[in-house]
Amino acid sequence: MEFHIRCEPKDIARYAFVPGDHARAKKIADHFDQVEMVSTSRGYNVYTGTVDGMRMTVSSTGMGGPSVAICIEELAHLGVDTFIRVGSCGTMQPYVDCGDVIIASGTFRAGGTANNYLPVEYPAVPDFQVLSALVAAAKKSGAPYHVGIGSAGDAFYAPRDPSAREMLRNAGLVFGEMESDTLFVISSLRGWRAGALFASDGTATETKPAWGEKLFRQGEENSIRIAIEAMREIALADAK
Amino acid sequence: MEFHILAEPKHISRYVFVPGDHDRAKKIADHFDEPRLVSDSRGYMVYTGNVDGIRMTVSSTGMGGPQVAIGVEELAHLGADTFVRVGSCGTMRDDVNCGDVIVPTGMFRGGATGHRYLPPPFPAVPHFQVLTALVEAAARLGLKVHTGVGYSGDAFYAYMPSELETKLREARTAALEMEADTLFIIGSFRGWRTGAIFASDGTSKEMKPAWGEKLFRQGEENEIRIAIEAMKSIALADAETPAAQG
Repeated sequence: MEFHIRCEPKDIARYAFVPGDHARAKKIADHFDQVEMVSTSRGYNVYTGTVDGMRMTVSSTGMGGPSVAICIEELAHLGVDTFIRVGSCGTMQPYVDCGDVIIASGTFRAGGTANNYLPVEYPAVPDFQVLSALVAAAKKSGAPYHVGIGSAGDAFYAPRDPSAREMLRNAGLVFGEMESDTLFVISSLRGWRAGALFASDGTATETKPAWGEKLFRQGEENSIRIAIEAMREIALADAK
Repeated sequence: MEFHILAEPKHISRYVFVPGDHDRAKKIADHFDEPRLVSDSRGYMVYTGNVDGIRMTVSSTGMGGPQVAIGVEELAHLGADTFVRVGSCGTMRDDVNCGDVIVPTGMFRGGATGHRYLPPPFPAVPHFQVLTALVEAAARLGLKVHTGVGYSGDAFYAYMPSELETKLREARTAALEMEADTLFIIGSFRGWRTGAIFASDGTSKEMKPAWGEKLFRQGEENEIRIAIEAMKSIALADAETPAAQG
């Protein structure tokens, strides 16, 4: 039994999805067969089920690095070694529309939690196998998607420095969110495999516009399907 | 004419290999058809030739961030937008032997030159198209590569703080070298496509052991073949979809 995720190793699969949102955790679990809620404590809603006979777990992480770090550390204590974050994000690039799926190839470390693990010069990057599986699954899905670098920060409502933002936009940053930096850095240190994809809930000029809600929900469903297909391919490769 | 690379745009291809070592630049050029030395100045040995009818350039960069930065900036002024570093490295991973080839998915930004372009939290990562092209090229050639995060630093002979070394070993840092951080960061900043491949000249316990020299040289030849095969596939993809450089 862990301090915050209240279940046993037998309740947890090797393969875990880690969305921030509780509602999205439930949506992912709805794609599983024989799904069971194995813990609900401290904001971590954890479900385990099967996909094509392979056991998978999903746990909500809540928002921000501290909450993500505790979640994945405890899931790993319980046996997880492969994580896919299924998140939402904003974007800095004009070619991204609401509902587009973005797969992270690296993340700007604006969050503070990972600094407790590895210094800021260490790159927040996904595992290549997970990244490749996500891109292959996205290609197969036919959904609009992009692959690129983004930024993860700690403070959604903090004032932004417009000139820094412009510099990062010019450097090609595609997405903005709050968790993938922490996931990638801790996973690198611990030797886990991690990847992340997001559905954009905005555009380069608008944060979460009401007109984009329906497109975002379609993108969220696309990102869930892509993540599950990628995890399935990883599990199949492990079985060989 | 640039300040340091004394060549004209017509001498330089869009596709450029950037090894540190002059000798390796020559070895890469030896794989080209009709290679020509187009500049030899300030330590940048620049050759241009053809691979299956595709023009490619190779330029040595010398060692360390400052020289890499000047080299790639001037090559870009002359028309380059796709760079593959073909380097040598040490390693902290126990499963990497002398001569093993490593394709980095990201680099620890231990070098300072990249910091003049983008702040340290910005990840030093290769462009996904180049990264994938390198891994897939190796598979097509039947050559094994490791993927993983590496460390780039400015000071080969300086002492690494033991706490950092312990953490980097725990994180199974695949490669230790001195240039890829700079290449990746400037590539992101300028909107170029960059990637890197290294042959290990050591193990997690030994630095450049004499017994490993022959294995390293075979690894060097392997990484050159992989890099050229990858660049060829990128050029062929560009020819099919000229706009697909995102």
